Amino acid sequence: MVDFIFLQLKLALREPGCPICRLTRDVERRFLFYALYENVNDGTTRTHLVRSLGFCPRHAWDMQATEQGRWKDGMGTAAIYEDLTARVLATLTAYLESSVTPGRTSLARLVVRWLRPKRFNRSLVALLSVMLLLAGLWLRHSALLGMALPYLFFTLAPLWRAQPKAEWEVKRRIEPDQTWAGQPCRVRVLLSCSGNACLEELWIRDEIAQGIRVDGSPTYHGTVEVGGRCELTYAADGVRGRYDFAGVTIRSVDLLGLTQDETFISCPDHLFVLPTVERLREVRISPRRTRMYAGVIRSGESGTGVEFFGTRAYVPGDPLRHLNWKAGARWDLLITNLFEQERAADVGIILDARMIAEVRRGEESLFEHSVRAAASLAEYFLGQGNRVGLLVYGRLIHWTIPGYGKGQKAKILRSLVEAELGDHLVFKELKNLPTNLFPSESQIVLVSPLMAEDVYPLRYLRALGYRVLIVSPDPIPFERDDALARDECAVLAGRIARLEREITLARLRRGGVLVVDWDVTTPLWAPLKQSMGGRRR
Amino acid sequence: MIRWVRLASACATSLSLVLLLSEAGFGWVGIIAAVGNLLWVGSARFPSRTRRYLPHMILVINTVASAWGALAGGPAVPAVVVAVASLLSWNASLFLERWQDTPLPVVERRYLRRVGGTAALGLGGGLSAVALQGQLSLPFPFLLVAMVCTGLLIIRLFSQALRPARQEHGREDSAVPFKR
Repeated sequence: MVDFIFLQLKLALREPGCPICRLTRDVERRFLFYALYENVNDGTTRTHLVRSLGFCPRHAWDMQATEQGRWKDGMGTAAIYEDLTARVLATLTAYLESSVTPGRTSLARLVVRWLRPKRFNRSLVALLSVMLLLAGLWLRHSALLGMALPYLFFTLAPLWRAQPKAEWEVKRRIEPDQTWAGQPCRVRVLLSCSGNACLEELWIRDEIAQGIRVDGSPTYHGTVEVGGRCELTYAADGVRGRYDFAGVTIRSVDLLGLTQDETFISCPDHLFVLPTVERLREVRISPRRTRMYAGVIRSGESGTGVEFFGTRAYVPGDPLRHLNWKAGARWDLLITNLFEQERAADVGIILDARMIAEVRRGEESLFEHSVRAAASLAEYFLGQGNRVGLLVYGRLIHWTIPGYGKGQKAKILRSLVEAELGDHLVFKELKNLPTNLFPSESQIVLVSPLMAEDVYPLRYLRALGYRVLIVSPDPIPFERDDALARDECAVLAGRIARLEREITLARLRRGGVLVVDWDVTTPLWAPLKQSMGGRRR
Repeated sequence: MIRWVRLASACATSLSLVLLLSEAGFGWVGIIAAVGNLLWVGSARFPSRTRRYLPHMILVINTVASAWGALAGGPAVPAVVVAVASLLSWNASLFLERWQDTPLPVVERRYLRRVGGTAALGLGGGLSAVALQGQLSLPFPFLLVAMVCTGLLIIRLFSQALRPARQEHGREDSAVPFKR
């Protein structure tokens, strides 16, 4: 039996040179071609490339040559390496800033290092003892020499009982490791020490992530006996996001407070604070194509269902309880009722994470409301048995492959946790939306505050056969400042913005796009019900 | 307990400073330094960020004042007492700053033993040095006892310091497997 590899080898042997090298090169080029063709803006691929700092030099040049040869440009390579260069530059700049303090001479740095709290106390006593000793010797004064001795003994006192070496084992438990915004979770850090001596004074601090709110104390101050344990317990909560816990800093201090020894023990963990989900009552969608599984979306085909679809002549085998007696009496025929099949559908949710569409008012962000809406919609559609995918469209494209059920809900919520605003030249407008990701004629739900430039791409999406529903958090009342309510200019600006938005929404509605205009101060179900409560096909 | 140690050592510092500087002819400086010490002990009850470096400043001022008094012809014994007592009050205030809530009794006991040993060693060493120079006219038996105690403490200090190194060395030796 001849297999595929044998055929490839046979073909490669016809060419001059090493056949294995030829095949390897072909595979490499093919890989690079596909990477450039569809994965340049794929979030997962880019994350891997960031971790590996791009390709090795040979494959980087191969990629550039492949792109140049195939498309006569270098945009994909440039997009990848622009991002990588910016990251490397930021890392190096941060390192330089941390290692060099401008405006200080080396002597000043030495003094600052000497005066650090870690060694300040001991240095002060040592300095006084040396000065007294030198003065006593210089002036041959016995009292000064006598005075120097207590200082000298205090300087040497830490040697009397040196800080014992201890090995730490740190375990962190976050229960639960994912929580909803505003619901605290319990963090327990268990430290066990193995050593042969008691640690007399310890300061233990759990290095918590920035932005997290803590109830309780993530620190410990006390002693730990030989083979002892200590535990930090506190409650933590925060706003939507992923919080990384790095580890624990342990500072061991001499009882006299003269020396300190600080160690950092890595114990990484994460806490996911999920966006708040609003329970939606009814969102009626009607994609042109449904899936084969049973669901609640009307499919436009007759079959098993509850909604009346039509009638036809009775054929043997039809259930007798579906006979339409009135129609039969009129036509003098046996007529049976038909019902519309209800099936599951493909729903693609797009979250607009472009920086240009963001509006902030103080600490509050309109994007957070968009995330909340996306989470609520995802939960609703998954609860109805549909297949749901999520696309976060911003600095990069982050695509959660469509799926069903609770597992998919968890994936989508995790993806929303990590969603953040960003800018990219390519994704500045919605016209580069990767429509190939969504099954044809499926339902697309866009959550976006909308801009005037977004009308054309969305109408184009509709023209491609997708059913488009836009949930648009209204930025105008969100941005309105009550302090400027009587300011004429502000009122006029508000009116102009309102008119512009109305025109944008009207143009979209004329193009067959269903738009839900959402004032974020009201619950999401209310405008959804108002816009599509009585909606039928 | 440690608050009392600090208070007592601050009082001893003040008293010794007054004695030392009045003997040297600068009684008013001694009184100012003593009042400063007592004020510091009184005000340290109220924690404040500005008072963080106050103990260090008081220690430096006490040291400079006592050295000045000794150089100006004051007696040597109060100078040594000032040095030991000011170190004691400084260290006690550092301890109290770290353990703002009530420290554990075990920790308190350990600290008192440690700081007491070091202060006794300092006082003994300082007085011995002064006595050896003939500035302290003690009868010979007292001098001998003071020097022997100080010497023993010094030997203990260095033996304690060397113990971890010796233990590590011994552990390395015992790690060699014994083969018949």
